[in-house]
Amino acid sequence: MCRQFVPLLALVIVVTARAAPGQSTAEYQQHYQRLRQASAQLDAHFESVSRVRVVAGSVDTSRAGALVVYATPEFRARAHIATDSAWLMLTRVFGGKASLAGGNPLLLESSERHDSASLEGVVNGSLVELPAGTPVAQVTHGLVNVIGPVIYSHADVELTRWLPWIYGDTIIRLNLESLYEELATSPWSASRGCFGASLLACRRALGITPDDPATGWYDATDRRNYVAHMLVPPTTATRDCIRDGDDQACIASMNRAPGGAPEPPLGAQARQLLVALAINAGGAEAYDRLIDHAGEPMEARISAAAGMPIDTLVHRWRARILTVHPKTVAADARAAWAAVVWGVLLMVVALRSSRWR
Amino acid sequence: MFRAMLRAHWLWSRLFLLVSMLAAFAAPLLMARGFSARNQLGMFGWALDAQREYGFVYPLLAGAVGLILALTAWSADHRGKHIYALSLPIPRWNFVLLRFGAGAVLLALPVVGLWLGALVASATTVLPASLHAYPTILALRFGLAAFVAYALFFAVSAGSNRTAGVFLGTIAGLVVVQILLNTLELDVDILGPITAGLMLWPGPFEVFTGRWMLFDV
Amino acid sequence: MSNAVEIRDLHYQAGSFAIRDLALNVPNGCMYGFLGPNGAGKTTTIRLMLGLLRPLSGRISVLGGSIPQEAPRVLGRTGYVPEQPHLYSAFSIDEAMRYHAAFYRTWDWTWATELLGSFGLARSQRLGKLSKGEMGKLEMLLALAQRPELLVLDEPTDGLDPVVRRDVLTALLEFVSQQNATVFISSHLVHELERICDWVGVMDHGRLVAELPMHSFKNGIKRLHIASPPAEPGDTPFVLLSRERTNGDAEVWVVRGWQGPMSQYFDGVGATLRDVVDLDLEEGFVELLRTFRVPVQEE
Repeated sequence: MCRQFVPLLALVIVVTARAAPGQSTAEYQQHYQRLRQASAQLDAHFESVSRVRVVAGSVDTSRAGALVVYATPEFRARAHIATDSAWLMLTRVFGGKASLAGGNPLLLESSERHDSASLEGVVNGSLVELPAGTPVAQVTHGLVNVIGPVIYSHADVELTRWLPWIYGDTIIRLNLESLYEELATSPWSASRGCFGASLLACRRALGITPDDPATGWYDATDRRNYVAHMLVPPTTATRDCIRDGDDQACIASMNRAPGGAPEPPLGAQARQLLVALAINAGGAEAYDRLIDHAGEPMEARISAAAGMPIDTLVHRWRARILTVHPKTVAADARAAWAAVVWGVLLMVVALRSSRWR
Repeated sequence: MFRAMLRAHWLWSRLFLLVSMLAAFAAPLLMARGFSARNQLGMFGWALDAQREYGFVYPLLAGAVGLILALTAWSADHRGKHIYALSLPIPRWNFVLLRFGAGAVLLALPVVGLWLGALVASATTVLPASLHAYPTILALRFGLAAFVAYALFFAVSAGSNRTAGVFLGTIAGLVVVQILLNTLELDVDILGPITAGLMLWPGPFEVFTGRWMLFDV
Repeated sequence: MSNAVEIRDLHYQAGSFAIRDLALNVPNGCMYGFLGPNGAGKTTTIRLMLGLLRPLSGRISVLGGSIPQEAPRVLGRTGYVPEQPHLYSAFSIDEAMRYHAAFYRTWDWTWATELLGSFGLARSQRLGKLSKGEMGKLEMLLALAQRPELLVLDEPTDGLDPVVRRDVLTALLEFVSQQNATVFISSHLVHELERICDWVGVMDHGRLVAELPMHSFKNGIKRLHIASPPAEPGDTPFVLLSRERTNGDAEVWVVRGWQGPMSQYFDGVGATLRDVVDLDLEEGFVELLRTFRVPVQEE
């Protein structure tokens, strides 16, 4: 608990030290206000911890790096292990930026509680509700999936607009079969070109090229289809685009799409996979480089994160998707043989019936 | 003798077989309409989703075909208390084998119907290079699923009333026990493992699972 | 082989009904009438004989083959008309004939067509629409057209009108005259069997009560009117089945195995034989059953 007060004490010292002799009354008043605020925060902190103790009986605190987890008694042993594992995952993905988890403790409690009050509202933090019997691995993922977006929310607007969310546990949760399907059935020319092995088309489909989205990622036919499926009230421009095929009207309509620009041809999962591969390839500081190169074209940022040329990364990304071909109706031989064998077995059962023996 | 059995089974089940052939022929054509409608916009993803959503029709139809053919195989004999069958001059196991074989042959009709419908649908639908049609494999899988269903219900129908009672009673009993366990909030799942054992390798119904889609990646 | 059917020490149980120690012989080439009241076990015995049911113990031999081990081979030479119609109602007569013919190598299409005509049946008729009489004739047609060596008929004329019954029996007799087949016919219509059978077996409550040539059965049972009968019959040359007091000191005795010279017995016991009355098969059958069920009681 003493360690919690160190930053606050440091703040107090800094603030006090700044109020050196020779400063004006106004400056003193400002310092005084800051001291009062720090004191109030300290009081609130003491009070919240006390209330947690009153509410939950004994709350277990787990720490790993910047990650703090308050857990109710059901999770005592598992919380420690899960916190350590979660911190490892977070550092693997976010590198140094994982420290942004600090100041945002997680509140781990059972979703099956009946009588005891929730930690939420008593302690500032993000709630992680899980069934009491949840295994350690799933507790870990639960922690990561709550704190990961918190860390990611500190990223720049351009990145978060291109990739709205990021999984803390990288590729595990991506459905690669559905990505294959998306790539195979996407109606956009860039996606079709990507499926047909054009890396440039893949970059456009991912929306990482520095082109104008409406004209760089989509061709004229795509633009007309895009506008036809936009969920917006019809306007003169949209009508001219859809009915008359007026490409300029299509471009204008697309640039007025929600968000101010059209979405990349491939969905967020495809982009998530690219970033996950970049982080895996780029090592511990990959995410740092991704953030630090803010302002550059997206493909340059991702290339920097991965530590390799963007085409190499995109090639890997495409290959990764295409290796996971969904199982079609083509019944594998095993299922076919099982059907035949079971059919014959059941026929023998019929023959052995007491009536027919 | 086999021809006599086949003719008899055909007489008992011809109406159903004709209906099921038509249904099997129509199913892939109806599915393909989604592709044709969306073809203009190239929205094949939605068409695939629609196929996935309605793909259950194929295994359902296969199960129904197997069930009805098995029931019609034995219903006439059940009515006559099997006196005729037992008084015929062939070994009993031979009689059952001939009956089984006759029904299995008749299964081919709805399978062929499905295959023809799938072939027509494939020929009349324009697909992008990334999608393929699987008419023959779809029909083959349908046939295997129908065969398993037919064999199961044939075995149950061929048995005595007591055997059928035990079979159905066991299923009903398991369901009742599971409901009781759930009501008492006891976290015990007995149906789950049984279902998994039946529906996954090497269970008999694995062939019913998976993606029943004529057009796929 | 002198017997077409031989049954020894047959035991069978189904619920509360039992057949115990059944022994039965059906001589080759005879027409064997299997008599018994309803529920006596006639149909059960026939089903056991043909292998449709499995006995608990005992030995069954039909046409030289063991039942149930050689049942398929035996059934190929046996025509069977069961008690209840057992054909597939969805068939037409033509389809039923084709189906049946597929299983019997000895099927005679020519004779089947003749029988079709003489029975007045049409090929296109659906079995489900046939009357009871028409179904009975079809069943007989299918059994006869196989040209069997053994014909087993379980109450073939039960519920049929006299015209149909006559047609069926005529066809049966024609068949018997054409080939030296054995006919095993069970019925509770005693007077019908009396005309056509040369052997008779009587069954009651799962037991064979009597088995003997028809003429012995018919002729051997008499009703005797006796005056001043002896209190104790003693050692009689005939089988006393029953005795009943009438009026005064007169009695009526029902006896089996009677022959004319046996009247001397009554002289020896001081009784007077007033009259000897022949019983027909039905009366004899009833008396036999009565005796079997209730022992002879003394006044």
